[in-house]
Amino acid sequence: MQASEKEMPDSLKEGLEATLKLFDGCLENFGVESINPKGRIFDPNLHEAMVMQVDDSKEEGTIIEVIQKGFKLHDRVLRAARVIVSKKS
Amino acid sequence: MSRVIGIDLGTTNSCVAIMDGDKSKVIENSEGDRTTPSIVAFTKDGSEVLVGQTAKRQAVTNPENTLFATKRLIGRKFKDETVQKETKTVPFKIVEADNGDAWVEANGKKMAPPEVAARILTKMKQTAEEYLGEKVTEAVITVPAYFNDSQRQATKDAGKIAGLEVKRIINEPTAAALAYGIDKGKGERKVAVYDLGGGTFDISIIEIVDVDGEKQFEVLATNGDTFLGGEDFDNRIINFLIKEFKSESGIDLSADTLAKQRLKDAAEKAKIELSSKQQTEINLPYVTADASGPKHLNISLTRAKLEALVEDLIVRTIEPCKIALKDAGLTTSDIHDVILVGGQTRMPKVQEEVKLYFGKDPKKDVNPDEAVAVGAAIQAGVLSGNVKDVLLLDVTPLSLGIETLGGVMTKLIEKNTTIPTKKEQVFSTAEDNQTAVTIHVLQGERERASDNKSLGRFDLTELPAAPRGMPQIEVAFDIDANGILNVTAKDKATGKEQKIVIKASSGLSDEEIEKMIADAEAHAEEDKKFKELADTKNQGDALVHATEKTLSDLGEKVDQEERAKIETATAELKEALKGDNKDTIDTKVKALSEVSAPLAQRLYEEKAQEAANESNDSDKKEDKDVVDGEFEEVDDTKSADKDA
Repeated sequence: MQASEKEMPDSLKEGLEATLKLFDGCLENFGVESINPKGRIFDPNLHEAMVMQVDDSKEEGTIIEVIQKGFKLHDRVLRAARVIVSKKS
Repeated sequence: MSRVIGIDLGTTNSCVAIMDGDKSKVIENSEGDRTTPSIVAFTKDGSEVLVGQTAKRQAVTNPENTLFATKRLIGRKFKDETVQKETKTVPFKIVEADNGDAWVEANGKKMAPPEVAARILTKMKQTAEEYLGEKVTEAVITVPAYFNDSQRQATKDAGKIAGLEVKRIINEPTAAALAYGIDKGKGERKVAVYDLGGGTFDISIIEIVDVDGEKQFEVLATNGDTFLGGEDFDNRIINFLIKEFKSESGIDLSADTLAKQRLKDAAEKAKIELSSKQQTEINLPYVTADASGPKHLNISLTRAKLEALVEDLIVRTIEPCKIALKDAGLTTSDIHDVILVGGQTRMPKVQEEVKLYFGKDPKKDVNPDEAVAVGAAIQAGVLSGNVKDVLLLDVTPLSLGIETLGGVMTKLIEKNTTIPTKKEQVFSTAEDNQTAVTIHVLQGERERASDNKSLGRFDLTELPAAPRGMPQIEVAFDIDANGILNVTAKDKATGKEQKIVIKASSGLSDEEIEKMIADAEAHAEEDKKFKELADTKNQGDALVHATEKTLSDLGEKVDQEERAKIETATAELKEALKGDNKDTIDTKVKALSEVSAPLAQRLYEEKAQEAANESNDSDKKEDKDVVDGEFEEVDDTKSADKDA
C-alpha cells in the first residue's frame, strides 16, 4: 500500500502507516511474509511475470517493477508477486 | 497393495484423485491447488523443467519454450486440421516429425506430445505420492470420448514415460457419469454429459444400466468442438473492454501486452463473479498512460451484457448436442439426466440453455472441475478391488474397417460399438491367381478409403493360386477394454495367419518410448539433485543468518578469538553458497556449526536466565516469541517499531 504523498494530511498518513505496520507485524507473527522482489531475479516459484520490458542497464530477468506484492505463509506461497521483468533489447 | 490413482489429463488443467476407503478424494498439489495447469516450460538455460502453476507464471518471459494445450496435438499427424489450426494460435513451435506426427520444439529440442504429457502426469503422480506417503505406479487416465486409437495409445505412452502403468484409459464423460452415478438410483438411465471446459467442448450420451445390482456404463454417442471453451468467453470480455476503453479514452489497449495481461485476469474474475452476481465492476487503475497522465479503466459489466457477448458461443454448443442425440438414436425426452462438467458450466446462462434444449434441470452437485478425476479414481478403485459393483463399458468413437476393391472402406466395427468387441468377416481375392492380399486398416466414417485415417497395413502372402473370389480370407478385428485394436487375417485354406496390433499408431516405437522413459528417469535424478542443492543452500543461508544474529545479540560477550573464528567460518560458508557444489557447502555448514554451537548454547543459557528474571519483570519480554496470536496491549506498538 502506498499513500499519495501530496494530498494527504501528515497526521492521517502517519496514522495509516502505523496501522499498516501493526498489520504487517501481526501477519509476521503468524509466519506470513510479504514478497516484494523489486531488483531481484525473476523466480516463477515466487513471482508471476505479467510482462517483459526492455532495460539494457539490468541483467536479463531482473524484476523492474512489482505490480502487486505477494505473500508467503512460512514456505508456502499464498499469492505470487506480480511483476514486470526486464529483457535486453 | 499399492494404490491406483485417477488422473484427469485435461487440455488446460489436470486433476488427480484417489479413493480413500469408499470416498473419493481430490488431492492438492504442492502449491495447494486442487487442479494443476497443463503447462510445461523449459527454462532458457535448459537447467529446469517447470510444470503447472510455476510454468504458467513465467510464460510471458519464455513464450517459445512454454508448452500448453498439447493435448490437442497428442496422437495426431502434423497435417491434421486441428494441428494446423493450433499452429496458428500458439507461440511455441509445432513441427513435423519424421513419421509425419505433430511434435513440439522447445529449447531447440524436438519432443513428442506424449513426452510433454508425461511431465504433467509425473507432477500428478508426485502429488499423489506426497499425500499417500508411498510410491504410486498405477493409474487410470481419462481421455475425450472422441479420441481415436492413436490418441489413446499416445496417452498410454505418456503414462509409461512418467513411470505409470496405465491400468485403463477411460472416456471423460464415462468418468463424469461415474462421479455422479455411483450412489444413484436404480433402473436404466440415459444421461447427457455436457462438458464445457477451458478450451474444449464435449457432449456425450451415456446409458447406465442396472444389471442385478451391478451398474454398467455405456457411451452411446459423442460430439463436440475442440476449439470452444471458457477461454473464448474470456476473450469476448477482453475485446469488449478494449472497445469500451477506446471509445472512452481514445487509447487502444490491444497492442499493450501488460494491459492485456491485466485485462485477461480482470475478465476471468468478472466472468466468475457474474455467475453469482448481477453486476460487477472491472477496475484497473493505471492501466495505461498518455501525454495527459495516467489512465484508469473502470467499466461495469452486467450479467445481461456478458450473456449478450457470449450468446453465440453458448448456442454453438447446442448443435453438437443435437448430432450426438441423433447418433444415439434418441430424442431429448429419452434423456433422464443431464450432468454438467467443466468450470464454464457454472455460468447460469449456460445452465439455462442446456435446460432449454434438454427440457430438464441439469445436475450440478459434483464440482464440475473435479468430476472427471473423481470418476477416474472410482474406476481406479474398481480395478484395485476397493470399489465393487461397477462395470464399465466404453464404445469405439469411430468406425473401423479395411480397404477393399476400388478403394472402398468396408466397415467391420461400426462407430459407437461397445468395447471390448470382436468382429469377423470373410474376404476374397480380386484377381485370378492373386497370391497376396494387403490388409489396410482404416478408421473413420467416409466411404472412400483414402478419406479415412490409416491405422496400419500388412500383407498376407503365399496364398495358393486360385481363381478370384475363391480363397477365403477371414479378417478379425478385436478391440480390448483399453480400445487397443488387434487385426488378424487368416487364409482358411492354408491356415496361414498374419496380424497387426494397432499400437505403433501412437507414432512412437517401443524403443522411442523406452528412451523417453530413460530420459524421464535421468531428469528425475537431475531434478532430485537440484532440489537437494536448493535445500542445502537454504540450510546454509539460514545458518549464516542465525549466526550473524547471535553474534550481534551477544555483542561484547563473545571474546575476540572466538568471534574471529566464527566470522571466518561464516565468510567461508558464504563463499561456498555462491557456488553450486553441494559437498563444499555441506562441509562449510558443518565447520560453522561446530564453531558456533557453543555460542548458541550460551545464548540459550542467557535467555533462560532472562526468563527466570522475567517472571517479576514482564516489560522485558521479547515480543517476537509471541506467536500464538494473543494480543499484548502493552507491547504491540513497541513490536511494530522494532520490526520496522
